Amino acid sequence: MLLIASSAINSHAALFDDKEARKKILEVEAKTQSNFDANQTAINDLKKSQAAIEKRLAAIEAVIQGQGLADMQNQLEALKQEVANLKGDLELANHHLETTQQRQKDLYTDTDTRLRKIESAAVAPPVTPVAAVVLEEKDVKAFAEADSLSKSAKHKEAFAAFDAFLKDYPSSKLAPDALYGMGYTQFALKNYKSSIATQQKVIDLHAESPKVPDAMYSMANSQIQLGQVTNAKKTLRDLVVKYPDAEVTPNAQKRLKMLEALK
Amino acid sequence: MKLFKLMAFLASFLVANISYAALDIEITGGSAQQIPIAVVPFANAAATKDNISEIISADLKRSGLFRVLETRGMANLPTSPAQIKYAEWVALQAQALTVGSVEPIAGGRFKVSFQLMDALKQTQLAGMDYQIAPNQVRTTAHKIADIIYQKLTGEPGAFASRIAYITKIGKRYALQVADADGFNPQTVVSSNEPIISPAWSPDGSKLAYVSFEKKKPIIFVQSLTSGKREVLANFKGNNSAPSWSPDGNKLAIVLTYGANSQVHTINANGSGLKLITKSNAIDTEPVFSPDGSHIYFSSDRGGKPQIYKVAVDGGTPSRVTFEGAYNVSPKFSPDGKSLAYIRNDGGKFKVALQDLATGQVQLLSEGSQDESPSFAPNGRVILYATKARGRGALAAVSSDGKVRQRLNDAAGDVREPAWGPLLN
Amino acid sequence: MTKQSAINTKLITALGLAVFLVACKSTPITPAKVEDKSPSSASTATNSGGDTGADANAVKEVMVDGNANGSADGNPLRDPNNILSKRNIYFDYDSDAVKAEYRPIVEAQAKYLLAHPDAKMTLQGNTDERGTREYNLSLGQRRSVAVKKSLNLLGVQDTQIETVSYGEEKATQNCAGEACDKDRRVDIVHQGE
Repeated sequence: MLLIASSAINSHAALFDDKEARKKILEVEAKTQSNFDANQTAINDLKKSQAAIEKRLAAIEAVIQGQGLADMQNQLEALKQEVANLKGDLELANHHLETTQQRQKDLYTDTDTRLRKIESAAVAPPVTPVAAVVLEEKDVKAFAEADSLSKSAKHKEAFAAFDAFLKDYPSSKLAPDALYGMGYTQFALKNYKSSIATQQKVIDLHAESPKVPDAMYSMANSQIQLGQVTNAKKTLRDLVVKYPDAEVTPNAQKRLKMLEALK
Repeated sequence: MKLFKLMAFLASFLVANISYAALDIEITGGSAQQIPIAVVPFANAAATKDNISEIISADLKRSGLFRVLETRGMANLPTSPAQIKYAEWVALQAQALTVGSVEPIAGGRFKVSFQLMDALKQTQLAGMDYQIAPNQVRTTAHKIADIIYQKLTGEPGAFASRIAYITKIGKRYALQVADADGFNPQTVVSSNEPIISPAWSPDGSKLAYVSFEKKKPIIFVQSLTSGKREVLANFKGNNSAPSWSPDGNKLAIVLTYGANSQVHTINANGSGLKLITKSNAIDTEPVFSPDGSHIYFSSDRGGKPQIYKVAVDGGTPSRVTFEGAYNVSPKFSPDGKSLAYIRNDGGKFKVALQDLATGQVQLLSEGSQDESPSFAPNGRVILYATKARGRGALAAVSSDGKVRQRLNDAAGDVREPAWGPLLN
Repeated sequence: MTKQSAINTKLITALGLAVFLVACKSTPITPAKVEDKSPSSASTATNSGGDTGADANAVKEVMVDGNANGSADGNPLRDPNNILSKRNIYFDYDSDAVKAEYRPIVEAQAKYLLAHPDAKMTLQGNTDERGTREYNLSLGQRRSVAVKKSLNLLGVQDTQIETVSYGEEKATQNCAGEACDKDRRVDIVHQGE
């Protein structure tokens, strides 16, 4: 600075007097001092902010070096595993749902087809042919022969056949049917008393047989033929009460009404 | 040195064929209705080093579908149809019998003739003549066994096919191929670092495999005849689990880069790499369905490893296995109707077979560390790796689970079997 | 003929066959050795099979061998007193979480990699032998990726790390109990080692 001042004096000696020169020097000195002060402040500011940055950096380093992030990574992995497990459970649940739905659908279709068969079969009773197919046994064959004789109105022959059947196969499942059949042929042959006795046997010996309502109906018809109207009405009333759902019941009801109207 | 091992291997298989169970091929179980057949020793069979009639007998026996009748006590041993006294064979309860002959011809070659005769109808079911070099006796015997199998069971045989597997003897790993009966083993590649996952190209001319020779898994494809090997995939991370598309043009492979295993496809020439699965889980062990439409793979995207399928062009995978907590290594039956895989059944790893139409699963193997299932080209047998007395061994089970066999190598560990296609 | 003598006969046949294979070595098997560095077995190299014709089943063998085994002295990575020489991180059964006890190893490796931007390392994942080979390869990979992520969190870039897996290939045969524990690990290998 002195150097600058002295050079100024040397070069401008002719132009400035001492007073003026001194004044200038003071001015320069003041300016320099103020620049210096400004620089010093700036440096102090920088130092401060560097310290602040270092503090923050240390904090960040602490975060990185610390267990925190590593813990987070492990937690993230654990969460991923958890999500995968849930996904797997969902896949399994969906699979079970799908298979259950499919099974239900199959079951419905199966039940539906079976029901349809039963419904259509109800129109034409398949009892005899089905039985014939299922049990191709001697008694079945014998019964079928007797039955077909009866159906073709060969009543005498049918009677003999049913009679023979009952002697040959007394314990056959078809025994109540044969007994009923025999009663029916007796009716057809106008042996009403015998017919009533035969049907009474059906009712007494085979109480559980589905042939019982048929036998009662047949018995009532014989009683009507014999003029035993009271007996006939009683038989029909018993039939209607005991077997409201039997196939012959509607007919029995009609007949009963008719007899009651006779009074 | 290596040839001694080779001899031991060969010898063990030969002994096995005689019947000493403890040593190599143990056959347990058997089809309820085995076809009784007599394989009459071929005329002049001793002219070749490999006895052709014995090889045919061994093949048929091993299938579990035949009862090969003892012919040693027979007074008459016919070698051509005209010499057959059928009544004798019918008395022995033979349904069929084969007769044949070996005849030296020019150039050190042999003419092999054989006829398969119906013992009851006294008619010829099949007959063939072959002109072969001495080293083709075994292959010819296998081809004849295939014809017999086909004529009497109505299904194609698989005797004339080859298997690949890895051996570990001491610290040395080798990828070998052998005939389906374990004979004639030849080394394809050997290394001091592990070799795994051999996969046959559909035409049987090449093997893809994974080698750790560069201290990381890299996929190679090697021609069997020329020995020429090429790197198929050497990307950052793992390169593994190769499997060929049915047309042989593409392979499904597994790459990791810096993350978990993901399924990719790549052309056989190494071009056209494509990412197929996109998950942050493990997706590996891809196989093409035989119609080429889907890729089946194992994945733990659902928490536990299960088998999934995805369209060959990618898309959303759907799950295939639902029973059990660990189902991996899917392999298709050649007809595409069933899937064999490995299930962890209460800590025991077993071969399972799933009917894809019904979802029905049958556990086929009895081991505790069974892996790498592989179907015979006719789908009748599944070859797999098992542990026997602490060592790796190969085993086979018929796909109906009735017949089991074990093939041990006396020299060391055998593992990672892969059954190749039929040779024409 | 007794069974024993039958077997002997077969054995002799087998030996005969093997001898035959030796004799015909050039025909069916043409071994080729591919060697990286090992000078001892430079090249038994390829014998290009040519038109031996006959056997379509002939297979040519390839041998793959050798590798570098460099050694650098004064290298902190090899100093047994330096934590950098500790290279195994072990895992719990069925887990790929990096346990807190291995954190110093991971931190030391991170510091080294950050200080040596040209250094490269491979993380090799391993499993025990239970399960299938390919699936275990993927499980081992998951472990090496877990270690890589820990390094990433410490500022290491992916360009310096390769994650690979050996699956069960290095596992103890027939391990039981604690012996299996040693198999579930990631090995840290630096380039050139």
